[in-house]
Amino acid sequence: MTAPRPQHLPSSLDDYAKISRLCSLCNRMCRHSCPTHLITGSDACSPIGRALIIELYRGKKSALTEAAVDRLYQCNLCGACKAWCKPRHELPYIIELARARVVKENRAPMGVLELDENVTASSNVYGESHETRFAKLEKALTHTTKNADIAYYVGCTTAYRHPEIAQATQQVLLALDIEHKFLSGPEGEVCCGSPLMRAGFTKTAKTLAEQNIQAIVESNAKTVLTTCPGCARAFRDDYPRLGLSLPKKVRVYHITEFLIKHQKQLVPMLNAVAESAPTSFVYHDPCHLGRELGVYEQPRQLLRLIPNSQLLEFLHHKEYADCCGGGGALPKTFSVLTEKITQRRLAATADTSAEYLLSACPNCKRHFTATLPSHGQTLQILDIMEMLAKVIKARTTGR
Amino acid sequence: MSKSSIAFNVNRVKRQLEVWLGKENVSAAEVDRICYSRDAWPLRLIRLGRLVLESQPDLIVWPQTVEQIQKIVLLANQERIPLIPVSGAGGVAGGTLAITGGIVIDLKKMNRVLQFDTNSLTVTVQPGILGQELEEYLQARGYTSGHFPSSIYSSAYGGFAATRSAGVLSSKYGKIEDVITGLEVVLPTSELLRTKAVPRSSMGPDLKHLFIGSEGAFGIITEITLRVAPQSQATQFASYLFPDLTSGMAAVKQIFRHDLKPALIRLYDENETRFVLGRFKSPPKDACALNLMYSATKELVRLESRTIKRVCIDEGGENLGPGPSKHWWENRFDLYYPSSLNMGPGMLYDVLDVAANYANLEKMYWAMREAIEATGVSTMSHFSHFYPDGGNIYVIFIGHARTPEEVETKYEEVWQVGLEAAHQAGGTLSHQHGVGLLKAPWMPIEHGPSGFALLKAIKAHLDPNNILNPGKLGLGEKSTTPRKE
Repeated sequence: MTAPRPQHLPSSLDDYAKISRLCSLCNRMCRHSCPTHLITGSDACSPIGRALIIELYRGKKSALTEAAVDRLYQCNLCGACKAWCKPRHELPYIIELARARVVKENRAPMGVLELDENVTASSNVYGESHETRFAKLEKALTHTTKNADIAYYVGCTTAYRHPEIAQATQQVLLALDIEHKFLSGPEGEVCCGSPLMRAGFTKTAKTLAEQNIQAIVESNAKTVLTTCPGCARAFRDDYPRLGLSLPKKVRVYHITEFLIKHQKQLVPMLNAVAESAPTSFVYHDPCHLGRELGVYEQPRQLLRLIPNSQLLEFLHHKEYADCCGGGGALPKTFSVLTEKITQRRLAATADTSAEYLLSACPNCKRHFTATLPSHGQTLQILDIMEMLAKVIKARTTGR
Repeated sequence: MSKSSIAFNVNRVKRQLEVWLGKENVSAAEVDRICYSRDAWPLRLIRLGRLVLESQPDLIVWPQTVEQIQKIVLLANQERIPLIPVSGAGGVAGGTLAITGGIVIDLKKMNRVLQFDTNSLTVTVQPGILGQELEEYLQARGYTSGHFPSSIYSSAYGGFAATRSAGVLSSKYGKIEDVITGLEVVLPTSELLRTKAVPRSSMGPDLKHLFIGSEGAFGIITEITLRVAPQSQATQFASYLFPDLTSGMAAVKQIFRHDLKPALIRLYDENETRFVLGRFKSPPKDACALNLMYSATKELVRLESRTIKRVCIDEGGENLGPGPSKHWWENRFDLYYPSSLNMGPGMLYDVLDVAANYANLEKMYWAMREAIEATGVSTMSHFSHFYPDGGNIYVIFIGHARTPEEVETKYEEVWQVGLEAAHQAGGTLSHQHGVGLLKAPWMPIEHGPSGFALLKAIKAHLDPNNILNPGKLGLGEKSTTPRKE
């Protein structure tokens, strides 16, 4: 089942009164899937609790106290609750609207204020210099084609923290002879705005959206590729919500959606060398890619193309997949909670006995990688693009 | 502090609890206390839907060890603080509401599987493990708990034990009291009691049954050993339509007299039959549907299917095939989600779950239905837990009133006349939903003067300071919905 694409949604908490009211009165049919609830054990820190907090606020029964704000931000916005909700209530979106109200009332927690400040000052979530956005990808830039119809929107986390994902993506694109370019330069790409949308800073997100749309329009690209599901969701869902959109001729794809169209060309490239040892991997569905964009099969189809390998599944996978812990701006406000959620997902990896944990999201990789040492597990963590590039390289070099 | 709260120095107690449990495991925040002011009792939810805030705990704690619970219990005795043990808070009778304030002991962080004995087919768990969590654990290993209440996503084993819960497949797998082999309980005076987890014992009364169904008033359950079963080899659905309730009931009795125990067996009255058959068939007036699920070895499923088919047809049943039953199974949680229908302005709803012998069952159904519908609400009913000697009735009512006051008056009236009719017909007033606050005033009626006096004496002996879940089971504090004489 795929969640309906939430477009052209009303933008006021009151427009959602019916849903938040019903969620607040629910017999807690989704609570068991909420990653923050499972760690805290608190009924307030659950989808139903948050809906009740919103209802109390709407009904002027309770102010947005520090604890109320905390509960609203102690949410990964992972959407797991929606998978268990028969009426498919869009509670995460309502929580985003409530957070926007928190921001408007100047009650946002310190951590997310820092996020907004970083992006406002330097156009990226890490507060690093915008000029260095492509510093780790200088070599990759030399393999781009200025007039290509395809633009690879790299995104903050890949650019600043995991450039290896962009390098691997380029290797795959080059192997397929797909000309592409980056949206580099002073007027190029900036943060997609997704983290700001999630945290309630819609005004900043809108400014970023306008800059990105302009950069894409000026690049004349007809296709935009991303390796970050959050970025893909921003372009496809958040920008229309903000009343903005890319020109109709421009299509935005997550890289797995795009590559699956080239699977015929990929097959011979992925034919691993004969002596390669069998390998096994478990695929972690990123929340934005799966539950929000409905992309479950394409990454799996790509991984099944890899010979001499076994694709394993978590007990909770596809629409029931657990969050990596990194969603919803949670790491900015409650990093300990984030780490515990990540540890929980890593522990579930052990049940599969996989050698590799693969995701299709730099944010997932970031949190898994950061938490793995403390978890003490022997596991290799890669992005799906790194795995594909690795196999292609092994074939090319015979190693 | 909530209005009805028993006075204690919340800040001082909070500081002490933080030392023992850690700051992150203690909360006095208003939003947390409000979120713990509800369970799944429809009346509480109807009021909450109007944003009427009722009694709240003063503190919520999340212990992680038995020792922590024992310390809290000792402190509560010293300070005379009410303690309300909560695991899933999925109860529908107000059994976990902090009606006099106090401390909610939320057991959700005690949710581990402690031992899985595949030789004996038993599993030992902590009380905070949700039904769904244990079922996933067992199914991943080829087993099942067999315990599938509608609240499986939201309720936990501590609550199952404390309320004598029953799942929809109970005809095959038994009710919770049938599968619990051992318990560990922190007594109201903080001592630890462990009953031996053995198949059966005749060393005097079985003490675990003092705590199964005691709704947290006699002790805090901290460990439960349960029987589990291998996952079934085969599953098959079947549905039949009978000319009326009497013929459907006759078929059910015959099924049990043939020594068969289908996993699922649900007989619907004419009103719910129309709802259940929905897109499958437009049933004639008075017709009653029977949904069945067989889940066992292939041979046993074949035998059950063949024998029950013959029984049903002999009793005038029409074979509807597997469709309606399978559809119900796959959509069985639908009514559990709140909707504008039951939660709209002026709406009232709930379920009366009662049970009786076959000699009284049908008579009780008609008496309850007549009494309840006379109040102006609509009903639909089913019989979903059967035994060789009788079964339960699940009377669902839904109605409308013009004002919030009328909603509450009518709600109480329905319960009053419904339970009175059940009592007069010789039934028990709760089959699987427990007592909580809702049915607390009926405890003396159910158990009789000497029976209820004995329960009160047991409570007074176990809990001399009346700290554990006061007011529940009709013991201690007054109830919110007194029974009218």
